[in-house]
Amino acid sequence: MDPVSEKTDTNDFFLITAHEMRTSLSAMKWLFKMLSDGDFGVLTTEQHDVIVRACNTNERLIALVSDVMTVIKNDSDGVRYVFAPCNLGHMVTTAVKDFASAANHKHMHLSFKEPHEPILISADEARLRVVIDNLLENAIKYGSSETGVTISLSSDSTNATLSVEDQGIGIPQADHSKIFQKFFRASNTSQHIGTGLGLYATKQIIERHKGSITFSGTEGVGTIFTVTLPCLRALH
Amino acid sequence: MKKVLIIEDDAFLKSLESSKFTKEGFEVATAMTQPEVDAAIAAGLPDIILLDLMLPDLDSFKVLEAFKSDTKTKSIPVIVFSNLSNDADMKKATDAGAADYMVKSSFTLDEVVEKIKSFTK
Repeated sequence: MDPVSEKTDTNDFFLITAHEMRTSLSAMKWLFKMLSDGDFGVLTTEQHDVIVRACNTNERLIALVSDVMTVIKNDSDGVRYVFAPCNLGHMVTTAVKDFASAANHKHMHLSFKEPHEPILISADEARLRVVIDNLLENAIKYGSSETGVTISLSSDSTNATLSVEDQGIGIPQADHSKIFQKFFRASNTSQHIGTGLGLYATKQIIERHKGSITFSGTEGVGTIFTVTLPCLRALH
Repeated sequence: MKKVLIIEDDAFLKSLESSKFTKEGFEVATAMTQPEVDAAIAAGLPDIILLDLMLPDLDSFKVLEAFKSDTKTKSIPVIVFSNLSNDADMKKATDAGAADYMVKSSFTLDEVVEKIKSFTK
């Protein structure tokens, strides 16, 4: 089998798999919504809250599968983004709380102080949450045990700036130009599980939000990823 | 009472759609093979059709083309309702006469109901 047809077969396999995953995720999306709406009977407050959380988790999976399909197809125009105003500070706070347990497993501390003023941006919240999750997950995965991850969020009249700084293996200089390429994995990451899709999808999602992502750092010291997104008032 | 024909092979999705649409006051018919589609149409024309794309025993695009070339059914809006989201399928469906294309995982059933209502006023 030549490389082109092998790649096509692999892509078809992933696309069919993703389609089947979407079918199950659609069923869960509809079921959770009907449950939370009381279509199958009145829920207690606790039951309702749990269903809403399950629904949110399901939405993140739907977004993730969509982005994997986006990556595979290299066709971001076919994926429907739903933009709405959202407070980036709240989103980051929620994500940091969700990753606290994973950080604890490596005796790491996530440091984040939500700004007092809301930082409003126009975002597809589920997809932007994939971006935040990817950055936090990478910081924990590639950060050293018993170190800290510093998450900072600020804004000016034009942009919101989110940075995630870890103290870990860093990115080798020779890999800097390729780090956002599809399926690329830095040469010092072989001991860690990964697909090479996370940062590629992250960059695509940020660009769909008219933002940008950069990074700096030193191999063996750590990495800082910085995401810049236009503030809502700057879009008008 | 407006009638919705759901052409879908996944039993769970079909049951949730049927449950929701019935609760919203629609009459619901379902099909997943050509004989079932023919029987559903013969039993009474629907006001709208939701058509899945990946069906094991049915070429959905041929079904769509057949609806649109039959004088009895060509005015019935067909919403392609699929989890395929590539441009080629969307264009093919639109070119074949689909009234709309909805990616299942992007919509709640409430939103689907609103879409159905907008086409069956």
